[in-house]
Amino acid sequence: MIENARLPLIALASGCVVLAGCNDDNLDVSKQYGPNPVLPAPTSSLLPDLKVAEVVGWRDGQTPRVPDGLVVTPFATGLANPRTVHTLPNGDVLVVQSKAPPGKPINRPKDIIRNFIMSIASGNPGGPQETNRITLLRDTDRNGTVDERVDLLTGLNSPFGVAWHEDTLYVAAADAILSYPYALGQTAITAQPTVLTPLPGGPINHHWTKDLALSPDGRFLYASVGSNSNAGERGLEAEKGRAAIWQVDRRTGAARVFASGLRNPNGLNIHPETGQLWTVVNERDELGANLVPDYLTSVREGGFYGWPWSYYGKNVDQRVVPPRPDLVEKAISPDYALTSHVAALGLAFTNDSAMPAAYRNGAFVGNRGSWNRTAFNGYKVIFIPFENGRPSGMAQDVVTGFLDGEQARGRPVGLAMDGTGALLIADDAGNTVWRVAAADGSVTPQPVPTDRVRAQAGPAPQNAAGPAPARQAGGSAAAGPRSQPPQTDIAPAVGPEDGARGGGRKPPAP
Amino acid sequence: MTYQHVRADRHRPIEFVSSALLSFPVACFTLTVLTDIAYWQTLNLLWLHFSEWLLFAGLVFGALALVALAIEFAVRRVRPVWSAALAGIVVLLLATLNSFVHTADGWTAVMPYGLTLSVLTVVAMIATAWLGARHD
Repeated sequence: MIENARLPLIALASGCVVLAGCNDDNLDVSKQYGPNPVLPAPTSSLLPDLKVAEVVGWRDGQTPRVPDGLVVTPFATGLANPRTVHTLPNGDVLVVQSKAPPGKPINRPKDIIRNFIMSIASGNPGGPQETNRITLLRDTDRNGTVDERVDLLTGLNSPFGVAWHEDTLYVAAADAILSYPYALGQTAITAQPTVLTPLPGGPINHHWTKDLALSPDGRFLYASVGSNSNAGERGLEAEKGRAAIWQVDRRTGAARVFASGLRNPNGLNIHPETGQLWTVVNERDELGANLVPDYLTSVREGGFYGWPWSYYGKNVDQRVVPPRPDLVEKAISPDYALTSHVAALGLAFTNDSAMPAAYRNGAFVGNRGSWNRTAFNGYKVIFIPFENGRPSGMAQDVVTGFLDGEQARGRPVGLAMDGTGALLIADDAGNTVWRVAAADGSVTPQPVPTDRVRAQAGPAPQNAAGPAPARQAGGSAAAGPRSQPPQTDIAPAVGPEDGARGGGRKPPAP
Repeated sequence: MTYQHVRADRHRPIEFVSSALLSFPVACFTLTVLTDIAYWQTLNLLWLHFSEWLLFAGLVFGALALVALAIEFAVRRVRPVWSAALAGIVVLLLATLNSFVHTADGWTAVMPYGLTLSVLTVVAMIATAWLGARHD
């Protein structure tokens, strides 16, 4: 205990303690892109750095800005908080619209203030439309405009990720993966959903967005589950199975934690060349304006990425006591930093798209934008070039103009390449899906779906991802008696019908 | 004697208000030391949350007590003991500072500055009481 007590003294002495936040906004933001970001010393301010952009929405004719060679058009407007976009194998686009589930308990005076700030930042200039629905957008003649628009599912429990395979539509709600029988081309879903597997849900469900990706063999779904706190301050019990990516057997629903220590992972995507799973992750707040950079990373099976004990590899977070040096030792440093507090939520690989050559091999990342910082960061879509399936250069701003001075017209969240090979951006604050295409009007010969299945899954190999409990993090053989796995590796989910208030709704009828 | 008694009676309700309000910060800020120590020793976040709400409640009632005392002194046309009043304001400032320290997520909300400020707040409260009593 004495040793523990000395740690924050050192941390605070090396940082600075001031009333209105440390003025360390002047670090060159570009130094925090890439595999080796500059990480300043943590700072602790009495009033957390805060600057929230009021959402004002887009006026008629206003659009985000794109560089020469690209054009941006509104693909769909009048939506209600569109968060993710997903392209089906026939080119139809699903737009998932949702808002945070209600019922989060207030534990601290701080929670009241935080909720108020979040309500400013999300806004709803489109009016009180019904959200929590999935809308299908069809561009029949593949000319970049929507010809048919229909609500496929409504009244969902804060959906985020979707996936489709073998006549089944999977929807990741705030507390479970639901499956609906759905054949491509259908414009209505009447069947009741079944729960494929529960996911950690309410009543806290702090980072509630659950994203989905399909494995290249079509056998597994990967589901992202964000943490229940900023840095473990709701207790580790609240983090069971969270800050993790789960692997779910599509046929049986058997689920296990695939990788953990990822504070708030979203934008799950399989890299088209390597078949590796990638994600963008929102890192922690209140360590200063330039800590901790959000990141883009490939996800290793069984990998532990540090949260909450450490960040960016083995940088220990002194707020988290008792410390776990045994776990920090295993923490993987992520692949590519995206600078701090940008709120990276969307990811789309551009391989085989119809984008100009400069954007043909790499990833777009949607940065919803900061609030825990006195100078705005994010509020744009960036492009990161790849080579051989790895990031290979400096990120470039591609879609900007979401900010207008101190106000936000919109905020980019989920990304996908549409059925013609153009980029779609879900703008949840601007209630719009934007389409960014090559200015020369080129389109792909045929639709490329968001989830690309390479080959049919063969007979299921035995024991792979059975209903196994969480593995030991890393090799358990060499581990000492102290080395129990992190709570984030333990998958304890209950079904939505067993959940507590807020997460306790039955899957609604469509 | 009788005259004095009547006079005291006339002011009793307003004095009751301020002394009732003042008991809240005294109790809340004292308990904060105990709940901070409990968090330090157990790492059970329940105690950190107790500390935060105690500081919050103590500040709300402390501010109300300040207003009540100001009205009371104005009505009675007496001057406060300035040294005690100053010490009382120091108590509220320390508790405000401590509230901000306690908003941190986890260990650094209490150790070391949170607990230190909680103890200093109690010391300042004792000083306030002592300065006030000396002039009674």
